[in-house]
Amino acid sequence: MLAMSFPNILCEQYKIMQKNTYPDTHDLMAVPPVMNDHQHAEDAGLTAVIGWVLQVGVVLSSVIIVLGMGLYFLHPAGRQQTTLMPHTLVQVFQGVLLLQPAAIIALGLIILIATPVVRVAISILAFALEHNRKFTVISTIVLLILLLSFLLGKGGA
Amino acid sequence: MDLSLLAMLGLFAGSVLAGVLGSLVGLGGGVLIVPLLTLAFGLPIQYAIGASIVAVIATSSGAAAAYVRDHLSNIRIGMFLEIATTAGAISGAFVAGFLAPQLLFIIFGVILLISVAPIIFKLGEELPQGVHNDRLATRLQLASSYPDHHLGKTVDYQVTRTSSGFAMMYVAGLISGLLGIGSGTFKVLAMDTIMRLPMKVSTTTSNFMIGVTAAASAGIYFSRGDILPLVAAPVALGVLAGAFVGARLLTYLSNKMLRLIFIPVMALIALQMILRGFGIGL
Repeated sequence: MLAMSFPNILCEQYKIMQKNTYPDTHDLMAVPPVMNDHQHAEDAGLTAVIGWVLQVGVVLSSVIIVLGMGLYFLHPAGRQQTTLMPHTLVQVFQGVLLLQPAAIIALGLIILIATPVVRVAISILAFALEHNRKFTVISTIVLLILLLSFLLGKGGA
Repeated sequence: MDLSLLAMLGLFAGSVLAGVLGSLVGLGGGVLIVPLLTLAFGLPIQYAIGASIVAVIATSSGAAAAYVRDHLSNIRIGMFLEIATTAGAISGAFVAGFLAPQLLFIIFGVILLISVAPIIFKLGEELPQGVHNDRLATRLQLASSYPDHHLGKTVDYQVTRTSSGFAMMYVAGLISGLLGIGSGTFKVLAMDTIMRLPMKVSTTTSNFMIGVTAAASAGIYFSRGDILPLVAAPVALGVLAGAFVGARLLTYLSNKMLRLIFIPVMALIALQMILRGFGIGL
């Protein structure tokens, strides 16, 4: 259900952002902006969406990290459990349910790490909405290589 | 490990500095984080590298949110070149087992040190002159413009030698895959000296890209347990705060000044790589 409705949410957010970028125009989804030498006009919605994704990821992760650190310093009982460093997703989620500070911080870090990957995934949708086929393909290739490196458990820094 | 509040504050302060510097030069600030953690906090190098990966991602996302909105990062160039860096990183990680990393660290460190020279010759250049789109750049519509607060105007720029830049990006990815280090320096070099983008566009587009390459390896570091939450937390928060400041600072700097900041950082990274080749983890 959540997965089904996500593209619609993005689409709505995208429309709002394009309207904000061009306050004088309406319904830019139906009439794509005229192409010009510099792609600012046509990429305006794209930059807004990418900027938004990055900001949400950064704010969400830092709030969770701050909460975890606050718990670590304020809750002495929780501090004992931090000797156990969670390093699998299951351990992290179990720890979060038990309100372990280290697990909550780890959750924030996971969101931070996932943000660039989500950015690439959202770029595919954003380029597709702009009918930019070349860059829809390019972003898809990047995401596939990323997923491949996760699957292989290898990859650079 | 149990860190005191004071130690965390110290780590936070150092990370703010790394975030400011990393977001300006497009390298992610890992250069400062690793020696800070190994020298000042006595942390084993593997955990220092784990924290520096988090720092790279934090700088990238934290600053890119502003750079993308200010039209400084070129998203198209970034996305296109990310194919090369991610593919390079995977192939590098594959052959890493067959090659001696010590020697590679020394070789690439020396290459990087030598590459400082062409940048020094470009010190006087505020904007690249006489650059014309090549065919690939035209087809992908890579040319763009950015608002320069220092010059007080919008600067139009074109992109040349796109395929050579792409190849260099593959090498940058290869190096990071082989050695498990960030390769922001090679990314900035490719865009600045090969594709001849304005310095601000080069560093901010590199900054935009490094998060993706770092995220690919962060998963591995995390599952290995190399990312210690209580060390990474103050680093991530400090770097994010620093990146926020750096992203605002950059718009007011000149391209010349940015290059002047880039050179010593680049030399430092080269030195760090050579030292690591000799078994000295800094």
